[in-house]
Amino acid sequence: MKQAILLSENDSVATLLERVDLGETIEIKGTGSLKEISVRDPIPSGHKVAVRDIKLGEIVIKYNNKIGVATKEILAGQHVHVHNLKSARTEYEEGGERS
Amino acid sequence: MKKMIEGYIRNDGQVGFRNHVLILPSVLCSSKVAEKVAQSVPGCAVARHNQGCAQLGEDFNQTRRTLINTVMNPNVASVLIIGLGCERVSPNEIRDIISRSGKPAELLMIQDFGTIETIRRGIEIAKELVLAASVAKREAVPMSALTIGVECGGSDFSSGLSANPTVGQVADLVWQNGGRIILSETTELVGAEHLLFERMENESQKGKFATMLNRMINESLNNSRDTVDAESIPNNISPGNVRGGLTTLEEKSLGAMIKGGKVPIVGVKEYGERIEDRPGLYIMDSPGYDVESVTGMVAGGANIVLFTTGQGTPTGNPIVPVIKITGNHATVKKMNDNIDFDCSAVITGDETLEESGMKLLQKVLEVANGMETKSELLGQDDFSIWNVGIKL
Repeated sequence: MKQAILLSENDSVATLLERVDLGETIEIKGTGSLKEISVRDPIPSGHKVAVRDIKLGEIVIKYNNKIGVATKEILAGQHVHVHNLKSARTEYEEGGERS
Repeated sequence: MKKMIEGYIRNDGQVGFRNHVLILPSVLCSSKVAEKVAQSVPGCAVARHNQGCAQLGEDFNQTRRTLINTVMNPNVASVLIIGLGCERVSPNEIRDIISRSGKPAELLMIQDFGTIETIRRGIEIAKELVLAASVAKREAVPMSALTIGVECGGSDFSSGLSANPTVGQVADLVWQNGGRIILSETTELVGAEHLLFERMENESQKGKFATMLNRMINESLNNSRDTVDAESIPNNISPGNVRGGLTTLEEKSLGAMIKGGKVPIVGVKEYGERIEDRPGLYIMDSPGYDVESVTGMVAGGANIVLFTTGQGTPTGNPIVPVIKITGNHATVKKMNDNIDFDCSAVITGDETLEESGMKLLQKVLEVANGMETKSELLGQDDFSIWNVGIKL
């Protein structure tokens, strides 16, 4: 089974170690009680998958720390990246090439 | 593990792990001549750069400080400065400061002789400096002689999961043995600063670090050319970072700061400023632009650099060995001639972080004792001083 690493129990995203296709079930390694998750998007290797539902505007957690804010409703198993997550820093506007 | 290492003990007590004769241009205008001298005499390193004149205030001070402190790095045995003659940086002043420290320093001015005669005289002097340096002997030194600069470039998902935490393990081990760590790249600490503030000893350090962060953020916001490409600090996520799976600056920074391990922060330094002898972690102001960041840490006194790179990069430094580390096995296969250490087994679960850290420490000790890094073997002598003002 393909794997993703969850770095802390509080994290809402895990990092995939291989490319996965929609509908695949993957093993969650690392901390936490969640052992498996079914992915809802094709996701490239090294990218993040939500391990639980995340509300619009909710802080997204990795490394047991906030890495930004959800700009859309995110379901467990969905790809989390520039299309649904942005920096939570407020001293500047985002712009520039991000893809 | 064999923990004793051998290095060159300099007059000022600092320990070098390389024994370079440095050919230093004081200004861009003398860089070509300096390069030709260095190429003619094996055993010489050259630090070509774009600065040295038409600079003001703190920008000028930063260039001057970086040039002097680069020569004062213990990996440098002696220096030949090649000046032009009319530049703002004073080659005479640099020569005098270095000489007073006890390190041999020679000087030639192109405006005294022209290009050809300066090169001819430069070769003569460089030949004598290399001869004198070649008799220096390595002596046994403790691990506390290590000053490790930590850098990340071309980061991807693997950097924060494997390479950076492996370097963090080495940082902890070096500190436990009395060594020093330098962590730079201010732009890549934004988003993780709360964790660094907690590790500082006093209000003065916190104040300096806050000033450093605010300066970087405000300058990025006030950049009058901002509208051209809308680049600002939150976009210090390169297209390659995004393809590799990194989404926000916070994510990149949290992964990057792990390189400093759990070492207590004992100093906050300006770019290119000398760190102290006290063991611990020093934060240095610098951009995330790899070559400029490494140049600043080397001026700060780093005698070894640990450079993590998910996607791979060839860069090195003229005087300090740069050990390239990746957690991305595909990068090891594609860029084997650039990568010194593969820690992808941490990601596959075949190795623990502790095991990976011990192996990397062993590599650090071998390199300290003289084993060449890939960037040294390929002659990657990248050197660039961070320019913080306009050119007149």
